[in-house]
Amino acid sequence: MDRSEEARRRAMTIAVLSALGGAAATGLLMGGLALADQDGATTDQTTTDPTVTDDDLWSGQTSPWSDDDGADSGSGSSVPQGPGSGSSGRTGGS
Amino acid sequence: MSALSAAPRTVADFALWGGRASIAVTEPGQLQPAMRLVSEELGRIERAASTYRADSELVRINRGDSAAQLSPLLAEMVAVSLRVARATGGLVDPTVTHPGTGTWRDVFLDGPMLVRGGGVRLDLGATAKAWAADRCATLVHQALGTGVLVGLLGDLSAAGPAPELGWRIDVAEDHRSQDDTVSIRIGSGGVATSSTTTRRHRDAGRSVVVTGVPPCSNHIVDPLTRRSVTGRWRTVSVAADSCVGANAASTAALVLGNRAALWGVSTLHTEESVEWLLDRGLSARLIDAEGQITTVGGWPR
Repeated sequence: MDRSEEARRRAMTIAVLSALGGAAATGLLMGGLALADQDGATTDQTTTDPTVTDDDLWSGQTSPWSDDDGADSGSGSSVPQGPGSGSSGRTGGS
Repeated sequence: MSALSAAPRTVADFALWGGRASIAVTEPGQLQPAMRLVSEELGRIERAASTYRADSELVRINRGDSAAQLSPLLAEMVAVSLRVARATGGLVDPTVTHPGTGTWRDVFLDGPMLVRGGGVRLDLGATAKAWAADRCATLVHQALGTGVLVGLLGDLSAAGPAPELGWRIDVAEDHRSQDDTVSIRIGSGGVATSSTTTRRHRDAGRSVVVTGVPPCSNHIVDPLTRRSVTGRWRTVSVAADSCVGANAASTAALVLGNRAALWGVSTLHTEESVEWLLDRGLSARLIDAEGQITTVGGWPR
């Protein structure tokens, strides 16, 4: 099943489920999802942007680099603290 | 007043959601307008998706019928959470922070229409912060034209032109900590860190963060066990072309490390997190339970 066909079928299902609402919708939904998965198609549960694939989440390459070139001035520098000289942000667990 | 102190500020740091947030801009004079834009946008995001506010749209949705129509903002956030769940094969799941049996596969979204099966409730905490960083950075760049780096509790996103030397980012296990940091630079994209060394819990409806060392009960949950992750890695930092992508990968890597410990598999399998990151071309820094550091891809050694 191609993505457009699957999306079209989901849209129709959603319209019916929305009209029904509540517990009846839940029961029908489960059946619908089971059918959608039977052919082994990727489970695509949103059609917000059907052109976006899963892999697009990491499609670009971003390689950080270090300050080993000595470019980091840090405190004590006579250069004004612009965004390229001091720390611009901090990452860590939250 | 010296010339140095008179120079327009380009970096600001402020308290947010129990942690720290920051905004850095390349254009002097654009910091205050950027802060106003970000503050307003974060207010909208919080009203839409916070689970710490009884009046948020998401809380109302979770309490309501299984079928509902979402605001465009919340629909986009739910779509992102499902996209992350799909891309990680369910390692990051917007349904697992609540007790229950459902998974992200029980959540059905088409445009603004949401249907939840099996009593599933949504918590967008695993993706919303990173998505908000991406959204705010893009918003500031588009509105003001300046290059910008937005950091929300350790999740960072850059948009627009970077400084000549790149954005300097301090990397730590706890974003509030001033200790044990290394610095990297990025020109674009996002950086995020997930760690088991911090834990977050609710106290009288508010988010409370406690910093400790594993095995503490942290806020990274394995969808398989619905328990806090432990295992091979305690902290993972990832750089990607978006903060959402970086955050999804750092969380997924921690969960994979938890699976390895859970199943008691060999050392070969405990490197599954590394392989997973490499397969996606990501740059990452992983710290294991003993504090040993492993770098992946293009992350500086």
